[in-house]
Amino acid sequence: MITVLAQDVHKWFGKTHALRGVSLEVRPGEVLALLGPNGAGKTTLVKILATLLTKDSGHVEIMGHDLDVHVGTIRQMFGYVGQDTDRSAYARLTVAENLEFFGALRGLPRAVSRERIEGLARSFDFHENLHKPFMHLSGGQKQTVVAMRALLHDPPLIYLDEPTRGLDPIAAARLRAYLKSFVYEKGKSLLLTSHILSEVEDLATRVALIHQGRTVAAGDPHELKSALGAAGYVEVRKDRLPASVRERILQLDQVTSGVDRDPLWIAFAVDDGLAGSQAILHVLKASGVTAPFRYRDVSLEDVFAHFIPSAV
Amino acid sequence: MKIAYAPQTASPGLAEPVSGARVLAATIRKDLRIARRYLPNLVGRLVELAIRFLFFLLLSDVVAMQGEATVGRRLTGSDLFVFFQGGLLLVIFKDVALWTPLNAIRQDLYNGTLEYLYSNPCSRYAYYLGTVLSEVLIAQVVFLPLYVTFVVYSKASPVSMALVLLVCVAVFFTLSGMGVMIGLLGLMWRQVSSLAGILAIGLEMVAGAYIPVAAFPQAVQYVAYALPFTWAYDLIRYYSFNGEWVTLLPVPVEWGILLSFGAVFTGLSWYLLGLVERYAKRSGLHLL
Repeated sequence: MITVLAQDVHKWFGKTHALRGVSLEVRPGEVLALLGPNGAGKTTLVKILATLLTKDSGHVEIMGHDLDVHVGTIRQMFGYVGQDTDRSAYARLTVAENLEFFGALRGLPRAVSRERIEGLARSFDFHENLHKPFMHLSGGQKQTVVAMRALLHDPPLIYLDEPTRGLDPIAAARLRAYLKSFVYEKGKSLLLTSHILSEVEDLATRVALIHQGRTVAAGDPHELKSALGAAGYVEVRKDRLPASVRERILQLDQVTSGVDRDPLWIAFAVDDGLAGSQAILHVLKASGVTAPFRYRDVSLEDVFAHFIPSAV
Repeated sequence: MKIAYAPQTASPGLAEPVSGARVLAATIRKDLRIARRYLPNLVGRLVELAIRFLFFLLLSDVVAMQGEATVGRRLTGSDLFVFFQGGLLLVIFKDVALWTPLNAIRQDLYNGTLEYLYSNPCSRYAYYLGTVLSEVLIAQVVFLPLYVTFVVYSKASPVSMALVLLVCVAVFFTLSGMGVMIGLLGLMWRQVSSLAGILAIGLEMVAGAYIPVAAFPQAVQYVAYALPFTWAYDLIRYYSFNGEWVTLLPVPVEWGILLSFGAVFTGLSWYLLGLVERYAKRSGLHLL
């Protein structure tokens, strides 16, 4: 059974057509990352799936339940982490009291809530903060509490809208590790939005790029990278590279294109990492150019820039 | 790399509906905890009460003169005290019922918890009712001493005293629905909080909290008749003065009006709660 199925979803805010026919699927044991520039419609889509907004047209099913018909059932099936996590719990209650209350809103008996809070605190190494008032926590700790809240009722699906924003690297890694076990060991599903592409590379099994309310590309990260037609990029410092040499490099058979979007480096896409690097190095040597030179694999940033050039 | 997926799992009982009673109890527990940790609110409540008392004192001459029309004699001493005290008792219940849902929404907007509430399957009505009930419990800190003083000073019979309590409960029932509706307006327009506050003071005055309705010009009296708490103030005075108070309409009719308002407001607020949520989710309002 598909966990999330969205087909041709449209959403208008007044005269603004925020979603223009977005379609996506999330399957069990899968992490789908929504990528796109600010204002692309990612958060709107997540809020529609989380029943916080209604769509104007299109079809959405969560674990086989029609969003238009079984909202109550669907609300039991997901956890949701929104963007404003700094103010997302009762300031004067402790973390444990907050989570216990939120558990009750999900129908969890107190004993079950307490057991799960203990378990989550162990997983997130959060025990020493459980009895601190929410208002005394740092931004990253608050973010962790909100993630714990989304996991509290052990839902089969989680929506995370920029989940590691504000987390320190260790806390972010801990959250990612937990989410991986949540998805891969328990066979659950995750839909996340993030601007941290390294995080998406680490977590996502599939990626959907959204731009101006439309899905412009979707697939697993490897497929999307392959679609660029390059094995990697050879980057050369621009200020040391004469225009004539640059043109000669672009004429090489191994070089498929040039990407000039960094103020310091120009990137040459190559269809074979080793052969391409050797060919470019040969041209540089032959021209007497001693420019700094480096090789890197295709990244999701390249995918992003390829499909949504106007956003870069 | 191929990943072997475990079968998709969910918590046992995940598909069961959330019990409204559990939501209610958890909300009350939560609000009482917060109240205990934020005592300045309680101090604020006492200060507000003192201000109202002063207001009553300022108006005592007008009330005393109206005594001729309401109980057939000029009100003095303990009569005036009973008049004001009855008004205060009702004000406490009225304020709790009327403003708590709006305050809860305002607090939830500030705390950012509203989004969580509206993405989970619990009963919103149980949640808002929970916030109102917890406020009722908190308000007892002020209400109980006032009521005891009222019992001591009033010459009313035990039955009348019990009926005073019953009026308070009826007002609470009637105005809770109205409070939820005001809260819903606050959900859509933030400005409602301040506008409603100003309007409430005016309506409280018109309804006879401080001066008997009979003292107002005829046009204002017609406005008063449209307000549910007018009938409650009138009833509470009737029982406080042991039946001597001349009511605007026969007592059973006033009870009927009050309870009818309650039934209409409760039904309407229940319906509007769903309607506003759908509207908010369609329009993408500021909170959702």
